[in-house]
Amino acid sequence: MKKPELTPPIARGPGPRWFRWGLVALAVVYYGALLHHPPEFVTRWLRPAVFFTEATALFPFSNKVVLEYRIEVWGCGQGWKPIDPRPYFPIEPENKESRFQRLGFFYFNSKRPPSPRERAVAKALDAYISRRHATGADDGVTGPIGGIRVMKATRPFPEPGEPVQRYHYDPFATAPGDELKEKYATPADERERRCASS
Amino acid sequence: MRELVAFIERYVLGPRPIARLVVVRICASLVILGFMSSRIIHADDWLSVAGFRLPDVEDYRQPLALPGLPVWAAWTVAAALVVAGLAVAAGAFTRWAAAGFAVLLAYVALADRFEAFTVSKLAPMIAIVLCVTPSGARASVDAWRHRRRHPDAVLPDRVSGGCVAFFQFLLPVFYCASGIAKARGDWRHDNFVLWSHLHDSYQTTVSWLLANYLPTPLWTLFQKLVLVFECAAPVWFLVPWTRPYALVFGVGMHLMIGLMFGPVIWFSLLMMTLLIASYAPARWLERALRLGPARRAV
Repeated sequence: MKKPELTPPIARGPGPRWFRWGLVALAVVYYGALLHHPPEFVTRWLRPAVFFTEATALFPFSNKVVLEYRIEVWGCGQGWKPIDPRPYFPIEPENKESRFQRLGFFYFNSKRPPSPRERAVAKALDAYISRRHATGADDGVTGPIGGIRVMKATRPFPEPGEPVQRYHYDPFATAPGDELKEKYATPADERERRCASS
Repeated sequence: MRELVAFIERYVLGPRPIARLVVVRICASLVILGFMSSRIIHADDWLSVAGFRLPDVEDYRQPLALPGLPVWAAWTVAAALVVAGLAVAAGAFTRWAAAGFAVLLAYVALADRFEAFTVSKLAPMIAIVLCVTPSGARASVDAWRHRRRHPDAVLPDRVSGGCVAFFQFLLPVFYCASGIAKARGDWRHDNFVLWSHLHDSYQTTVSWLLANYLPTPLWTLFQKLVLVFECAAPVWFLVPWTRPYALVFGVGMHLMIGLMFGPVIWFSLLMMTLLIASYAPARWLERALRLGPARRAV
């Protein structure tokens, strides 16, 4: 005997109808927050939630230069030496999604003198690199170090229509036209003190 | 008011093919895990006190100051993230798995601002929607278990309300917001914004070749097309006869972004997933998932 055709049910979300309408209302609020970020008096209280709506400003500005951050260390008796930051920041180490490049972009990018907050971050980075270097991280510099220096490297790129160079990440290389700016350095007396005690 | 609600329920939030929701569940969770994979394999550096942690200073860039985890806890979070993501993709205990996935995704986005990108911010919301919708009702371990318990059960082929509509509305809203940000930025008066992004560490072989061999005016043309597409996305996706073109343009745009901007591939794959799940012909998705028409289980 032929089985009767059954109408397949429609799957529904959880809870009663009013609850599902509540979810629709939340979705509308989410869309609104994507389109227009809430004012500051709201964000102060809901900062973690608002953070998840700040996702739509994708590449709104043009790049003016190619930007990279470098680290140098003060090798005791050797002076400033560039190091490879990859052992210290192994996630996506060769592009700007690296935690180090992001750290540089957030805290070492300002043209103004560093704020207390930025100085605190720089000191934390200094302590982190010094601690990890002492445990033998393979960063290209051997021996004790007295401190670090964070450098902002900028490189111009060609005008439209001109030949474009293939990008290669090299934490030690400096190409013609590169400009290096010191954004933080461990104070000289602190470097001496650390080297003397090492 | 009652008429308005009835109108919205019937026309705006009417039932949609469940295949659309299933595609999001499977593909989006795998893409999110793919994006997270380069972080997960360095969970100690990412989330624990063994990696660099910001000092506890008040900072507008940090939405929530969360302390670093012990190394063992960071690895546990990473493992739980993988298990939850795979369980969502497989549709195993989908609601619980998606809830856990959402919580873990939100945690890792807040715990390390440096590794939080667009995918990190969209991912918890997608997981929440998968949690509060019947996303595990077909093509899933849950559906298989349900069939074993109830051999006569007829599985749903459509899903109610805003379960699918959420993603269908999210896309034009997202593009429109992105278009507005671009229009307020440099995209209207600088003809070479796209060009300016081809030179740094996001550069791939494809973008390097295109930068050298594509006629220069095409960069400006692509830029204008993207701006028009994004700003007017609600129109392109609302009007039925422009919708297929919007789908093709959107997928093509994300394909090129993925090929040209290295790690941004995961964002592109996520957006392509949402586009295809939301707007590709439902019969294609049903055929791809081998859902077929709903039938009596045997």
